[in-house]
Amino acid sequence: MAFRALTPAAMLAISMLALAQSQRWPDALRAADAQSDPLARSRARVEVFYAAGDLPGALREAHTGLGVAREDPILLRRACQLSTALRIPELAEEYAGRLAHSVAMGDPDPVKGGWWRGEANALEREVRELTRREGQLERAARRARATSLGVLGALFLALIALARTR
Amino acid sequence: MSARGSAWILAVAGLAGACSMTLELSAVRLVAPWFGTSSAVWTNVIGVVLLALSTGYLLGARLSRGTRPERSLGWCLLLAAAATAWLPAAAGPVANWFRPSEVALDEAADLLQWGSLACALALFLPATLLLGCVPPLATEILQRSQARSAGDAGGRVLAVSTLGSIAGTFATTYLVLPGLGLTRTYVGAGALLVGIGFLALSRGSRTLGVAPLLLALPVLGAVAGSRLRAPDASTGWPLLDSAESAYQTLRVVEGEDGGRRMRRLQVNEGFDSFQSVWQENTGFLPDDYYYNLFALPPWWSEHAGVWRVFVLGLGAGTTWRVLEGALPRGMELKAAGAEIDPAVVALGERWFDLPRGDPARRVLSGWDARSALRLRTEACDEIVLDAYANQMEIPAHLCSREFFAEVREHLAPGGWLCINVGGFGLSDPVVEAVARTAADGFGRRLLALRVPFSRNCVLFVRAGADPPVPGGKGWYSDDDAVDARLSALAIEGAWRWFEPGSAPLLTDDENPIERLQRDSIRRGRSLWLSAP
Repeated sequence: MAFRALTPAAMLAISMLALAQSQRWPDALRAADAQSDPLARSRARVEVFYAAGDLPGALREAHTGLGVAREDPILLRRACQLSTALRIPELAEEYAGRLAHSVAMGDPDPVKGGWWRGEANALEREVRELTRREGQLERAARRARATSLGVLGALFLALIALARTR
Repeated sequence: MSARGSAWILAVAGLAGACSMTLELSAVRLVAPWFGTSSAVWTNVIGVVLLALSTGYLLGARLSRGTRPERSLGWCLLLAAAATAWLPAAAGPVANWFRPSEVALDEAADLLQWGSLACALALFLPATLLLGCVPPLATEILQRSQARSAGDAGGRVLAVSTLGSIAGTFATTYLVLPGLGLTRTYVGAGALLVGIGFLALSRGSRTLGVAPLLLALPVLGAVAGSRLRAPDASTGWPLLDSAESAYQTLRVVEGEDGGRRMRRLQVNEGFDSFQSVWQENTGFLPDDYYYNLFALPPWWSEHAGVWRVFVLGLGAGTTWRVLEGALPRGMELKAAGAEIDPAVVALGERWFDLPRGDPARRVLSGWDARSALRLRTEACDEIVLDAYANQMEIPAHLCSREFFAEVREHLAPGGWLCINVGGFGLSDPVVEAVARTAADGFGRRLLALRVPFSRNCVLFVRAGADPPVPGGKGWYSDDDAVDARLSALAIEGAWRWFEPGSAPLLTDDENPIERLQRDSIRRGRSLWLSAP
């Protein structure tokens, strides 16, 4: 049987998978750090943090990786998922927009491209929902402030008027 | 008019005073399902009540110049009755307007302050303002009827009204609220106000007329229709049970998490959160539950035989159940726990398999954690501090340097203190302050671990020893399930050391934990992005 050589990326993916399955996260992180390609390193570190349950750590890592590869759809997708899960709407909106742009410019293959477009659309919907909730929160806070200040002001005037009545 | 003839007005003043205190003391409980019971909420409610009373006093003074103050008094009481009796029904819609039900607890920091103020103004201002009219009107009636001096009449009314307020204060907290619940307390206060309102009107004129009777109708309607509706539970988590305790509104819900059937105990405004959880089997819960980390010290200790645990803030006993199923082989659990709210213990026994009458599982029900700790004579291998006030912060007296020093005295050599703290990562101001203080109270370095998939951290500090270095010697056990969890906690960013002697510290004298909590929520998510 002919031996088919694995690419370094495939070898990394397989070794990371093995470490992840045995949940040896510090080893998986070391394997990720051993990568010489900064983008591959960032992607791997994001996945380790994500799988180990450190969502803010994964988001920070994705942010760092996107400094190296601004339009990388894999990092953008994770960054968007993470900022949505951590409820950071402004960041989620930014990543969703960049992902949609990256996907539109990306793989023309109908299968791969279709999958990415589906992902980008689904994430955009989630981000819209997050933004809607954020808006609801802001409106409620404004309502509460306006009501409080309005009623307190009216009471204050009523107090003065009553005190001055002879 | 004879002294006996004036007794009715003093009785009215006393009863109105009692009702105003009932209204005030129940007010925080009424809005608690949406805004909690933090000192900010108390301050807002008390502030609104005092402002309404002072406006009411002036309005009452104005009304007292009329020819028939009895009628004015009767009308004020009837209007106050209607405003009071409908409070349970109005609370839900008003509170939802200022705090949308979809909003999570940690998103709602700003709303808890402004929202609770707006809610208090909308709900409690009308009734309290009208009750504020009573003392000046009663004084006027007394003065006119008995030809007393203003000072004499006012003094008598104030004395009786204050006595009524005292009676209302004690009765509300110890009898009425625990016995009747919120809805019946408010409707009952409304009915009482209707009664004394009619008494005042009947003294003002021989015929009552139709209008007062029409005004009594809303109060009668409230008896039938005024009901408190708490915010909806999480979707897919139907309600199993609920209770009103002297401390909080409690709900038990059941649903699925990670493919397991689970129950949660929710309190007050934290309907996206939980105070205790239950699953059918004992042992580890899904990864994102901080209770799992309380089961780690036995694995880190070279210990055999009985593992003595004391839980401060027992809730419905989740920590015990996790430890029970997750102890190393050959180790036996001997547990005690203090829970301040007896209603939580009762729900725990009913829905969370909290043992009753088991000598190896001792529940101190109704005990504050610090007082309960002082009672304990047996040294512990592990003390768990999982006590929260207002969902968000550890009570100030349970996170002071003096308290942590007391905890250390109750631990066996090498014993552990584990603290659950909510925060946005290991640089959160609350996490930092509690961790520094505990490290200082123990005089040892403290290990803080971030709970996976969660915004909780668990702090570990030992009596006379240090916790193991994450990933280093003594960190891992010989159990795969435990090691999988330890592995996730050993990666960079999942842990942090705190050294003793690093200021600022929280003390019994100076403990700004609530301010730190507000800072934490305000800075919130930016903390997640800034540092591990």
